[in-house]
Amino acid sequence: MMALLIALAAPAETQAVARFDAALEADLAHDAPDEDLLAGSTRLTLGAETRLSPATHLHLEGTLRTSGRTPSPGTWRGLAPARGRAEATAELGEAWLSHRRGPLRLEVGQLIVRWGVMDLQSPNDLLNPSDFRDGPPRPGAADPPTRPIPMVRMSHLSENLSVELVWQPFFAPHLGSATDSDWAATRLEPSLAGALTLTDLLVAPAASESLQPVLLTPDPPEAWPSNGSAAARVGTSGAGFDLHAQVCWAWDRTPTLRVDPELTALLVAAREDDLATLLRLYPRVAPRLADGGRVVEARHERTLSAGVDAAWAVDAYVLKAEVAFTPARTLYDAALQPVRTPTVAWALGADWLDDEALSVTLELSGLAPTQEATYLLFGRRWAQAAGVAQWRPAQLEGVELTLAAQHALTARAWALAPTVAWSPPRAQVDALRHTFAAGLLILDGEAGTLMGAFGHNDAAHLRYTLSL
Amino acid sequence: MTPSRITRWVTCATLLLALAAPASAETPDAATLVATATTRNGFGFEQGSARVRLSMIGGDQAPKERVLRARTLRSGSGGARTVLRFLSPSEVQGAAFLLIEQPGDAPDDMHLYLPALKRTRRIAGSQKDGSFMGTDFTYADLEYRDIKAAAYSPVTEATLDAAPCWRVEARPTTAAAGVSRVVLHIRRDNGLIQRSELYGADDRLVKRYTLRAHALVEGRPSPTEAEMHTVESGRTTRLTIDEVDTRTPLEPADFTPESLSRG
Repeated sequence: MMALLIALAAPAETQAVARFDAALEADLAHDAPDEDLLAGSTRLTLGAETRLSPATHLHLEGTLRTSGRTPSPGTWRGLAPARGRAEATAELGEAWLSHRRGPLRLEVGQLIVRWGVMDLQSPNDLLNPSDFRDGPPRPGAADPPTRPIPMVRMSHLSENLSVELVWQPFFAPHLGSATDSDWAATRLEPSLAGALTLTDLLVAPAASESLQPVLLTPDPPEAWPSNGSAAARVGTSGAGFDLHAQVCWAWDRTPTLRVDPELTALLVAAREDDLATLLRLYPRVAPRLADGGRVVEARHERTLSAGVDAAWAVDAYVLKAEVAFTPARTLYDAALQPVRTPTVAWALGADWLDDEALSVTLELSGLAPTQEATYLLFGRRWAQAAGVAQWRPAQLEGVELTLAAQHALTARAWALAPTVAWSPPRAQVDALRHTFAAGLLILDGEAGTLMGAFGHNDAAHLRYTLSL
Repeated sequence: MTPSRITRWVTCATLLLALAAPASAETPDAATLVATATTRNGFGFEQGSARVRLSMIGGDQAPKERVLRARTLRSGSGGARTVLRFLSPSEVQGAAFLLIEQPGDAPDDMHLYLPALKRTRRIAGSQKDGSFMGTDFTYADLEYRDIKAAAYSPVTEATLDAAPCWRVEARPTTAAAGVSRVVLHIRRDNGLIQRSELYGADDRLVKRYTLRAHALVEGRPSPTEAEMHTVESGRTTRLTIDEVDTRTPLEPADFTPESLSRG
């Protein structure tokens, strides 16, 4: 509303944005317990950017979001009751004030700052947390699920050298769902998902949802200036190339979770169908689960990250490379124990564009922890190829075909997401723009991989977008 | 001969030459005309901004329109830097494009900011033939260096649309240009291109640029309306330029890849 008022009150140099999305997703396989068969969501985004003076800009954006899901009749071993869910939230999006003086730029507010050169998997894109409430990023997603957060950015820009300094006063975690959706983090580990369903059965319906804050953001760093994060990036651009280096002193957004030993034993018993142990331990653990007690202890660790990225234009291609080193990064081993290990994250990629009709992006990326272990989701090492191709056939005006794919190179895991979108021609160029899209998401993989953990979430979706 | 290459040549030969050639009573040398044109940026001024409306009409496609704010500045290293920021319609609103001219034969640098991705991407030099944000213009259209690689006919006098003009014919010497010749009519009274005609490899007329209106903007002649017609498709792109401001100082910092995301 504020954005609209600004847009209406400031006649010149103001850009208003209004966009409405509605999506419906149907599960194609429903081959796992307690699945969401049908999920719907809407998003209304209003925003405006206005020039308060030649040197000062104000940007405001907000989103009203609704979502709902219906569960399948089948639940874990047919025991727990099925339930549907619905929620509505109003969220402040990017909201910032910028001021410039000569080569200096200052931006204050709620910002998204994306560093790195990769489109699909960027090791150096670390500043903003992600929004996983609707699951991990879909292959080839153009609209990254990135959360704007409070920060200050100061830049010194000149023709061949850029210096950026960022300070984030507060810790901001990733957003996600721990227990209550098909994409819940607990579904990464089948026994954990089973135990939570058992919690709902034995303690109270939806009791497991009270565990979400404990599982998602346990013990976040206090909102205090000394707990802020800082980052710096230096870059240069020359004939045909861009080169950047950066360093971040921030919080590892993956917490180190330590689970109550009795709960761990319970999970193992659930996984191994050890009913005797299950029945012996559950009465002792259940009360602690029910009142949100300290069955899980967790903390976020400070982490340093240093990275370099580059892009070269070579004939018809743009070649890209990124590497980031973290002396201590939180990962989990196969036994769900946290491991702090030096880690190198890397990515190589290429973009190709043929007129406006066809564009292709291919990227290889990987994660190489130096400490030997078999890690949850990544195994000993992780490497994958991902790509997205977009085609606008000249004979079909307004039609856009997109094929996105992801394939692990170090494990058997893959995902495929074809989409067709159509925007009907408008009678007048300033008329509302309607876009209709339909697509599939198909993913599968071996146990212990992301695609394997969520392999039951194959889905078809319809989407409608109205933009002004 | 691809449409994008044709567009490239036509726009190079019109948008960029059109604004820069000085008026002269004596018959000028063709190469001088071209060289003069190419030492300036695409909007004909050393630094400044303008609002540009691109309307695509005709042919078998629905009408399209793009409105953008163009800012340009000659950099310290000699080449011009141009930022195009799209104002409408909604599907391209917020997108911004940076063209950095490189000296000599080096390909120009191009960067594109896409608000949906919140990311600035480098565009390859050979991607210049690609369409620029769904318009009829290619990334290459924002350059004009290619017209240097041409042989010119002697300049002659002609009258076009009741306006005395210089007539010059450019024959590109680069095989990749995909055109056989470009016939230019440059107004003698103000140095603006009145008409430009592009001929394909088979010497058939492919595209025609026509100046529709011009005015003195801050003391110098500038086109305010022009159009480009493609013979085969029957499509016309109309270019309208207004709100020209060459006096407000511009900062070099606003012409960097990192600045594209910042309004």
